[in-house]
Amino acid sequence: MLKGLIRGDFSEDYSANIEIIGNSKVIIGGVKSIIEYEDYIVRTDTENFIVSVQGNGLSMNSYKDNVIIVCGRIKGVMLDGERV
Amino acid sequence: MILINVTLEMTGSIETFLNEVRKKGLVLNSLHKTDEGKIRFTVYRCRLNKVVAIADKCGMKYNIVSQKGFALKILRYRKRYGLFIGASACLLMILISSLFVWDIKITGNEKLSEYDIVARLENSGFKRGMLISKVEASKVENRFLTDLDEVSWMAINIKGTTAYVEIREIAQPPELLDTSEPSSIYAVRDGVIASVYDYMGYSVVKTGDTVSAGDLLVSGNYTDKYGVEYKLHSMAKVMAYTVHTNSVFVPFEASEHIKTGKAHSKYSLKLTRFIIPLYFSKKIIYNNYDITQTEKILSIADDFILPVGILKTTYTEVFDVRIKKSREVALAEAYEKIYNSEYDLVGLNILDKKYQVSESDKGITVKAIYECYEDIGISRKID
Repeated sequence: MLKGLIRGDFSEDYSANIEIIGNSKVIIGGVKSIIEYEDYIVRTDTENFIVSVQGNGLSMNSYKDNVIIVCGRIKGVMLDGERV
Repeated sequence: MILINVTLEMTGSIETFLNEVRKKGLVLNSLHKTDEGKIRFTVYRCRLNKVVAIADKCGMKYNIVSQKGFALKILRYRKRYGLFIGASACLLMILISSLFVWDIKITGNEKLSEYDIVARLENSGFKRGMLISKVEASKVENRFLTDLDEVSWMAINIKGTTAYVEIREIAQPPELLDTSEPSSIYAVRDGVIASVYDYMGYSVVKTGDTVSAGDLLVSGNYTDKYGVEYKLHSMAKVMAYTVHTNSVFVPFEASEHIKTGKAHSKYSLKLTRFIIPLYFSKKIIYNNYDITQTEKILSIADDFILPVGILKTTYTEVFDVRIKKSREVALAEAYEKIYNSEYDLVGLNILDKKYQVSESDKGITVKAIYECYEDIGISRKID
């Protein structure tokens, strides 16, 4: 899954693929754009959701092929504004 | 340019910048946020202008933190012409070396030695150090096969700077016995005749006779009752009881060569046939030493041998010590030597064996006596 996301292999409906690894890393696939990038929050726009990663000392360590990797102390991942 | 990585730090509207970068299909490596809230990433130098243009468009403030890469290291030495000349000369030498045959590998030989084959190849116009373009494999093969009757087929394949010579030796037919040549059979050793099977010729000994080495056993000379002399090729199997002896002496005191653990190596450069010492002093620092030599041929790949090698000569310091052996140790050593020498008697039918031990002040002797049953006849031409 992880490798697939990094390569950019997404499901056909192009909805966000999210993988949470412990409380230190979140991988989000299908990212259209970054809305907010702060130490405490990273908000990204995907096809169906706005994915918010909350935590402390957040840092985006990769942004390639519509996949971002957010590292730091993760406190929560929220999906809002479902647009079907 | 492509080999240079540039690390940048930026502040400002990070989100807008990252989205623009993604839209342009650019890749930012090692992206992360610093403690000061800046983003730091690495891009290839060839994409720097595009990234900077996006940063300017997004109103970002940026600074170049570092530039790294192989190309920069090369550029650092761009005024050191000696390095470039040396590297170019080295490359040129490798290129020139690749035009010659530097190694010959021979396979398929069983009876013929590699040394003989290489010598015959030289006679046929193929040797180490010759230009690959000058090698006429088919002509060399023809000359080689004409010159050497023991080889039925051969092929020369050149890969890199190595020539692979594959040969097939002719299976020699067994030597035909020339029965037209008159001969008699003589004893090769002392013994007591056990049996005589004379297929051709006339036996002059019978069962129970004692014979000495050199005695006539079966004669090829025959005179019939009319006085006519015939000369025959004798063929016979003369079985006899013989005695073989072997004795081993092991002294109680012996000198042994022991390594001290100290060693000193000297290196030489080997260029084809020439050896260039890579040391100044020829003096050897040990009084007693053993010498071992190893040669390391430089190669780029398995088939790409260069005409350059390193010759390592190692001088290992040794000293001689006098070792005293107990009777038991000396006896065990003597028996071990006797048992090892028994391999020489393979093929003989040993009926019985006895060991006699004798001891003196200087050492111990073990004498082995083997009673055997064997064919003692040997054919010799009648003059």
